Amino acid sequence: MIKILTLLSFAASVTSSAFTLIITNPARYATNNVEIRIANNDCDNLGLSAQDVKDMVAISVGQYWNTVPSSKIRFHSGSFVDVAEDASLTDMKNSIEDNQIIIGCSKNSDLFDSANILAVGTMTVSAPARGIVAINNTAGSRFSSLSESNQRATLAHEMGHAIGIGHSTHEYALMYFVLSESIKQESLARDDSDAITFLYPNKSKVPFLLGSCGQIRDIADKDLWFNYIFVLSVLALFLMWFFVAGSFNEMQKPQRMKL
Amino acid sequence: MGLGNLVTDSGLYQKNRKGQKQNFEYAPYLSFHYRWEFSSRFEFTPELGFAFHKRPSPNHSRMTFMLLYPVSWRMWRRHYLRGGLANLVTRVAGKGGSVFMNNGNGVSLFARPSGATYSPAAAAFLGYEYRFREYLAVRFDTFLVPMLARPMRLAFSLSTNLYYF
Ligand SMILES: [Zn+2]
Repeated sequence: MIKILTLLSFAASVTSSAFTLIITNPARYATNNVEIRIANNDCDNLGLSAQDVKDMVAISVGQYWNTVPSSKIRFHSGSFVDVAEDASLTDMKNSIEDNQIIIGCSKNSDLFDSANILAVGTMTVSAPARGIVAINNTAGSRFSSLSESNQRATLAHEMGHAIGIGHSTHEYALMYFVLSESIKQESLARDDSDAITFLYPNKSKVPFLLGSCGQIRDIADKDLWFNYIFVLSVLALFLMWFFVAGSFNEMQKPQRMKL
Repeated sequence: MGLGNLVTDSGLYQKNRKGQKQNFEYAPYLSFHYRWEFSSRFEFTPELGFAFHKRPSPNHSRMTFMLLYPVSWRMWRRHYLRGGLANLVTRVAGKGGSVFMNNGNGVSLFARPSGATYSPAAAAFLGYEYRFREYLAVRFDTFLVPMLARPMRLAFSLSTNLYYF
């Protein structure tokens, strides 16, 4: 039996410690690669199609939660799923499988009783984990008045709730409880990274030897120069070992430097 | 042993309201190592190190500890090139408890992190060392963490080392 947590909403209304969790020991996703299902209904009041939402989610995960090297969890924007256009959180949760997150628009008036609520994110209390992010698609919703970058930040913030992270008191953290035009949230803050690392740390494959090599993500990534440096390092290491091997042949007695 | 500064996740996270990224941080780094010379030009110097980050909040802490497996190559006189594999472990720990915080149009109870988690990552690194004396050196290492995976991050450390035999 899956229960839904108390609603965690992200309001644009102005109100103003570090990261918290939605509960002490939230359910964890049983996979390192979490699929995000997109509700297959257009967000007519926001001028967004389901495909637009899917594209926005893909950019958002790459910009925020997929950037933490000390966390094993990665997200990808997956296939569409049918839900009613006034779906409740329970309806949305029931439309996906375990260890998935659903993101989509809803006109549910109980859920969105104010135009100031931009979106809502939550997850199941106990395992198996399922995450739900509902975007306010009621008439007059302020979500459509946000800049594109703030829309992405809002989705990423709600996804934070959908994996068990609560609000933060660090004002430039993604999980800060107010979205403001004056505070940029274009990447995660250290506090957000601590939160996802705390909940989803890398697991060591060889304990205390080399640790995890993480997961290999989509090839279409922008950090290509990192790869460039990496290849150079491997080459340099190879050369060094080459010299080391060579030195064994003429194994000399260890001698101290003469300075 | 060595004393220095370790910078992790350089250029990855934002550090202020303007969205600027954090490229540098002060995190004292303390290390213990053993130097094994296996020829006049090559050494193996396994190392265990601890980096103490500034406490991120009163309720949680972060620490990095490292295992390094470097091979040093004496290029010329006092100049050494070093490189190898390393294991960086990030520790995030919290004291527990709960706190009321803004949540939409109201206030809700949130849980503070309780206990500690350890997150290991394999790294490749390259560095340069200058030996003032046989037992005193200064060095600079750059790390790529984690190896062979995305996203990668850059870390670097600068430290002064004392060697004992
Ligand atoms: Zn929130």
